[in-house]
Amino acid sequence: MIQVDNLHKTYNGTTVLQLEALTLGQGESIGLVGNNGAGKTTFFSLLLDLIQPSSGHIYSKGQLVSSSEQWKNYTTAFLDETFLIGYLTAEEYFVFLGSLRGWSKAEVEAFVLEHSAFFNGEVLNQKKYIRDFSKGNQKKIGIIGAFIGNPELVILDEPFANLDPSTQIRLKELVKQKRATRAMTIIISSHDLQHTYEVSDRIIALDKGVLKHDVLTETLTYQELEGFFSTVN
Amino acid sequence: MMYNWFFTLERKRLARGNKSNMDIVVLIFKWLAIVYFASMMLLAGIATYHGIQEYFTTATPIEIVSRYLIYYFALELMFRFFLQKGPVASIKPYLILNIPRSKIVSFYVGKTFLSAFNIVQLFFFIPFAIVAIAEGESSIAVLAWTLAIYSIVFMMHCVAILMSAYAPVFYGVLGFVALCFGLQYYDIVDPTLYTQYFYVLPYQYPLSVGVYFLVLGLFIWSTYRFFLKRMYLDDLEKVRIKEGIALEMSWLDRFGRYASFLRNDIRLIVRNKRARVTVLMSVVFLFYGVFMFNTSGKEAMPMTFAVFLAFFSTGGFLMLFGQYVPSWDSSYYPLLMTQNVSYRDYLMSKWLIIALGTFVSTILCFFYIFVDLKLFYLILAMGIFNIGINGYFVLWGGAYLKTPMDLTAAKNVFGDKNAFNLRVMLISMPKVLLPILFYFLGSLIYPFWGGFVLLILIGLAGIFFYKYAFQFIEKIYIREKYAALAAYKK
Repeated sequence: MIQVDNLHKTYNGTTVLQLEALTLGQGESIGLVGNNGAGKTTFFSLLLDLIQPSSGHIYSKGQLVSSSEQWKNYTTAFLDETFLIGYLTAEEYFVFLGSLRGWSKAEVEAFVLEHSAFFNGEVLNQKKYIRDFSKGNQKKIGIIGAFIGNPELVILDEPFANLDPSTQIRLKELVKQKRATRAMTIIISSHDLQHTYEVSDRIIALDKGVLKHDVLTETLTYQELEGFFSTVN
Repeated sequence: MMYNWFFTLERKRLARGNKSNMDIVVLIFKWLAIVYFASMMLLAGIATYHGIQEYFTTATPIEIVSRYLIYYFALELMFRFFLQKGPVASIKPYLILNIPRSKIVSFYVGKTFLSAFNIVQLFFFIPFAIVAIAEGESSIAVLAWTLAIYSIVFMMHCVAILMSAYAPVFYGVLGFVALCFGLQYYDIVDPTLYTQYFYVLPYQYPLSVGVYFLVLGLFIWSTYRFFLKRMYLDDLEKVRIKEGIALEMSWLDRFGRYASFLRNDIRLIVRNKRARVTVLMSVVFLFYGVFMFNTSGKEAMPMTFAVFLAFFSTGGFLMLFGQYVPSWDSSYYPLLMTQNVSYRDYLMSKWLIIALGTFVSTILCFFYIFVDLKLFYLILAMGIFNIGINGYFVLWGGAYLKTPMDLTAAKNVFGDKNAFNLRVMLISMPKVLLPILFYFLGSLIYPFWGGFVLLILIGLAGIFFYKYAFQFIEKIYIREKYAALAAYKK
C-alpha cells in the first residue's frame, strides 16, 4: 500500500524525520507510537502531501503522493481540527464528505445511524455547528467522518486523546471490526500504548524521527512494548 | 512592579508575533499618516486663530471653534471606531495567577490611552492656545478651555472603545449622530447652536473645568467597570451558541459535482459573521455608480470613467469576497487538500461562486436603467467582463494572498494588515485597467458601442476559453499549495 523510500524532512538544519525504507501492507492495522517530537505527525503530513519531503519519496499504491492525486480516491484522514468545517452541522459535514467520496445522502445517513452509539446522543440532531461542540465531540465527528465512503486507507492522529472512556472503547471496537475485514489499512498514532497494542497488527516505534522498532503485535507482549519506552533516551 | 511585568510581556508579544515584511510597509504608512495629520493639526493650530479673527467679527475665535467642534469630534469618533483597537490581550493565562483583576484591567485599559488618537489633537490645541494667549485673551480662560476640550478627547476615547465592545453604546452613539445630522440636513434646527454651550462653557466660566474632569472620571470609571465585570471566560471566549440555520439548496444540484462546494460556500456566507459582513459591504458597492454619477455630474464625466464606475458597481462581491478566495477556507484547508477532489474542480467551484455573486450583482444593478442608459449598458458589459476575465484574476491573486481567516470575527473587515500584499495588488491592477483599455480601443472603432461590444466579446471569450485559464491557475495553486498550508496554520 505505502512504500517509503529514503524519506527525510529537515527544518532549519534539524532533521525531524528520517525513514530509510518502510512498507505498509494492504489491510494492515498499524500503530505508530513515539514520544513528543518523534515525527509521527510529520510522517502523516508527508503521507498526505501536506508538506514536502526534504528528500526521498512516498509511494501510495506505487504512485508518488506528491505528484499524483490518485491517492485521494481511497485515502481519508483526521489529524486535527483543521479537518473539520466549523460552520457546518455534523450531519452536513458527513454529507459533504460522502458526496466527495461518491456516497449518496441516504448512504451517509445510514452509515451515521449505524455508528450513532459512538456519539452518545450528544452530536446528532442537535442543530449545532461543529465549531460550537466541545473538543471531544469534535474529535468524534472527525473520526467518524474519516470512515465515510469505505476508504482503503485511514489515517488517524492521536484519536484516543481527548475522548471519553466509553468512546475510547467504541473506537477500539470500530477499528477492530474494520481490521477484521482486511479491506482497510488503518494507521493510528498514539501515546496510549495499551490502546494501540489492542487494535494494531503491527507497531512502529519512532524516536526523534528515526525508526526504532517495527514489530508485529503477535510476537510482542505488552510488557515488551512498554520496555521500548522505559529505555528510550 | 506588577505593571513592569505587563510591560515586558506586551513588548515580547509585539516583538515575537507573526510578522511579515508587509507589516513593516503598513507600519510605515501608519506613521506617515500620523505625521501628516499631526502637521496638518499643527498648521491649523497656528493659523486658525487669526483666520477666524479676519472672517468673523461677531464672536471670538474660541467661541467659533467651540461651535463647530462637534463636527470634528463626530469625524474623530468615526475614525476611532474603524481604526482604533480596544484593549486586546490574551489575558486568559493571567486570570488564575496571583494578580488582582483590577490591575489587569487598569493596565490593559490604561494602555489604550497611549494612542496617536489622543495625542494628535495636542498639535492643534497647544499652538491654538498659545496664539490665543498671545493675542491677549485671559490665560486662565484659555487654559481651562483647552484642558476641558482635551478631557473631552479622552471621553471620546472611552466612548470609542465601549462602542466596539458593547452594542447599546454603539447604537446610542449612532442614534445621536444620526439625529444631529438629520436635524441639520433638513434645516429643522442647527444642533451646533445648542452643543456649542457644552464646549464654550469652560471658556466663559473657567472654574467649570472641574465638572469636565469629573465627567471624564466617570467615563473612565465606567469603562474600567465594564471590562472588569467581563473578566470571565464566558465573556472572553464569546461562545454564543445559536441554533443552526438550515437552508433549502436543492436548486444548486444542477451544478453537479460542484454543488456540494457551492452549498458550503453559501453556508459560509450565511453562518459566519465576517463573510456576512463582507457580502453586505459588497451590496453597498452596487450604489457606487449612482453616488459618483450624481456627485460628479454626467456632463463632465468621460465615458472611460463610466467604465470605472460600472466596474465597481458590479464588482463589489468580486473584489471583497473574491479577494479572500481561497482564504475563506483557510481553517480547514488541510481537509480540502486531502479529499477526493482535484484542484481543478475545487478552483472551478470557487470560480463559480464568484461568477454567481457577480451575476447577481449585475442583475441587481438593473435599476441603473433609470439612472443613465449608457451607464446601464456599460454595467451589463462590465458584468460579463467581470465574470469572464476578472474572475480569473481574482483567483490568481488569491493563490498568493494566504491570509489565515478567523471566520467568526467581524473585525478587520476593512482590511487585514496581512491583506496588503504587493503581488496581489499588482495582479489586481489589470482588473480595473484592462476594461478601461478595451473600452478605449473599442470606442476608437465606433464611439461608445465599439467599446461596449468589445468588453462583452472579451468577457465571453474568457468564459469560452476557461480551460486554458484554469490550466494556468491550477499550476500556480499547486506550486503554492505547501506555502498556503503553512501560512494558514498560523
